[in-house]
Amino acid sequence: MIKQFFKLIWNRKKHNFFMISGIFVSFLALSLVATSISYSITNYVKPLGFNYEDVWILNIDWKNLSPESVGKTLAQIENTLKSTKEIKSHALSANYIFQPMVYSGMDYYYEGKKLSCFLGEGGPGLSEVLDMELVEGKWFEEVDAPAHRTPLVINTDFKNKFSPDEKAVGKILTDDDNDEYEIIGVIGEFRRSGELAGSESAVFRKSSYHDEKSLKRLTADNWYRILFKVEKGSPIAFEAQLLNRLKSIARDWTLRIDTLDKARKRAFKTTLILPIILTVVCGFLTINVALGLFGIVWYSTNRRKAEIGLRRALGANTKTIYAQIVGETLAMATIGIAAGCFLAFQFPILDVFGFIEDRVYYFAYAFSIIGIYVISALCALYPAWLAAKIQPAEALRNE
Amino acid sequence: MVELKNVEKVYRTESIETLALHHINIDVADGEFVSVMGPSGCGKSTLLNIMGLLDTPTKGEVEIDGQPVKKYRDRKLARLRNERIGFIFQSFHLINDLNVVDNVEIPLLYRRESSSKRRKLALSALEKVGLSARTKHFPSQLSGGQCQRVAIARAIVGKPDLILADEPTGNLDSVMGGEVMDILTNLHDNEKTTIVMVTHDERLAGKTERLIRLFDGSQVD
Repeated sequence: MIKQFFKLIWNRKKHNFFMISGIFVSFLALSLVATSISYSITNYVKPLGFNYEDVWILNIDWKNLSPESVGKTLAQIENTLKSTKEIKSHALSANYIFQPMVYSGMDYYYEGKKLSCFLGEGGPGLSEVLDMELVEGKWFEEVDAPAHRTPLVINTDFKNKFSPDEKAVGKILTDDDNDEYEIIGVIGEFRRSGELAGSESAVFRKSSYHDEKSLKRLTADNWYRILFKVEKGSPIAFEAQLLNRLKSIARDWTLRIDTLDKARKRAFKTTLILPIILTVVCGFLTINVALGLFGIVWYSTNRRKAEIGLRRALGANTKTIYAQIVGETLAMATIGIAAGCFLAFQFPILDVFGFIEDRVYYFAYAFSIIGIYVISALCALYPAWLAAKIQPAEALRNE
Repeated sequence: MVELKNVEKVYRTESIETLALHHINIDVADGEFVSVMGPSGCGKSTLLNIMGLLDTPTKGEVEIDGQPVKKYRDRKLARLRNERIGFIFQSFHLINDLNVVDNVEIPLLYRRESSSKRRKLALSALEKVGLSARTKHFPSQLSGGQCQRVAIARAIVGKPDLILADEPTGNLDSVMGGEVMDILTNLHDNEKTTIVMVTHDERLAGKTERLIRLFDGSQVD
């Protein structure tokens, strides 16, 4: 019976072409959305690599003031933060955590191999504020041992690019200008863009106002941040009180306090936009394909009334006719899916998107295959029911 | 073999009621070759459809081997049609997208037969109708006579006891019609198959054992 399904489909290939093409396109669209959703889910269950709870952000705009002036005021602010008992730790940080739209890229080289990464800046104490896991070495300290190479802290994702099996601490990287950098520490995961974002290679430079070079870099942008960890359950009143105290120190600056948790929620919404858009587009596409599929099966069943009448005369019962129509539709779905799979499996095989793990694709494809079979079967049910109701005498007489 | 008792068939639409068959009593015995004649619209095809369990009478009873089929459900009726009855139609009713041997295999698809056995039986049926050389051809590549021989092969492939032929030579010229009639006569003579044939041709009806005449839905013999 199944052999005959495929024979009939093959012999009616011209007629079935649109239906199989529709299934093919719909499979690819569904796979795209499923991959995106599966990627987001996989990311969601992975650890962020840092703790955002009870971490507040002091957003600073130092309004083009001179580096010297910025350095002095920062020292006063830091002293205030240190002397506030509700604040457990604090650190300078550039504006990138839970900011999915912000990207600062850098290329380093290790033994001639180009290594691209996100470049972040963090002051001493940032690993403590964010409770980051140090896998190797150490985070930046206030006074690092003097060295002629700039110290860097990298994350595991970056380490795996050039030294997956060996320790990375002590290894020397260079940049496009052949300046040398020394790795002093390795942290674990660091998914700065939030729960739905994937793993990313990250490298950190030390951020400090104590040395001239770093202060210059720090003041290149007007905006900067100080992250600080507060005691659990610190009241809102404390926020206003602290802000007033800081404003009295930095009268010319614009200061604003936010929390990392709020930033995380905003980032979550931002990173959710793409899967939502894809789902809506694919939803419409799938509905269109389903309606088209339904129309084609219905039209084709109507055209085949005489054949169905004949099959009834030759011994097919209503159940067999049902199975015939649904079976043929599923057989066509199989051809469309097979063609779609051929294309879709090139993505994991050729590693087109290196940041997506193979299992994400496999899960998405399995979901899409089941989805297309379910849609095809649903689209065939009503025409099959109509076909099963065809009276053989009537169908043969009309012919 | 098959008996119709006081069969009446009425077709109803919203405005019209048509009496297609009225008070029909026919008993076709095992191994008989019966022809049914009558003018167009007298109910011959309706009679054949009722005999072949493709349609149900409005009144009266149809019995196969003495068993009334009125209470049989769809599955049992389908099995009876598949195992006991073979159909031959005036317009052949071949599936154009399947080749000759696949067309002949169709009744066997609804039985639990292996693919190789189905193929063997289909080829044997085609041999009986002299079409062994055309097994891979499609219906569109055959003449009308050859198409009807394929339809006969399809009707006999399941070795049915009863063959119902609705004007099997109606679309054929006299030579091809004669060939088809010869095949039916051979089936009846050699394999003792019961045949009920609707025809307009007195000459062909003369070759059968019994003639039933219908007029305006009633039996007139």
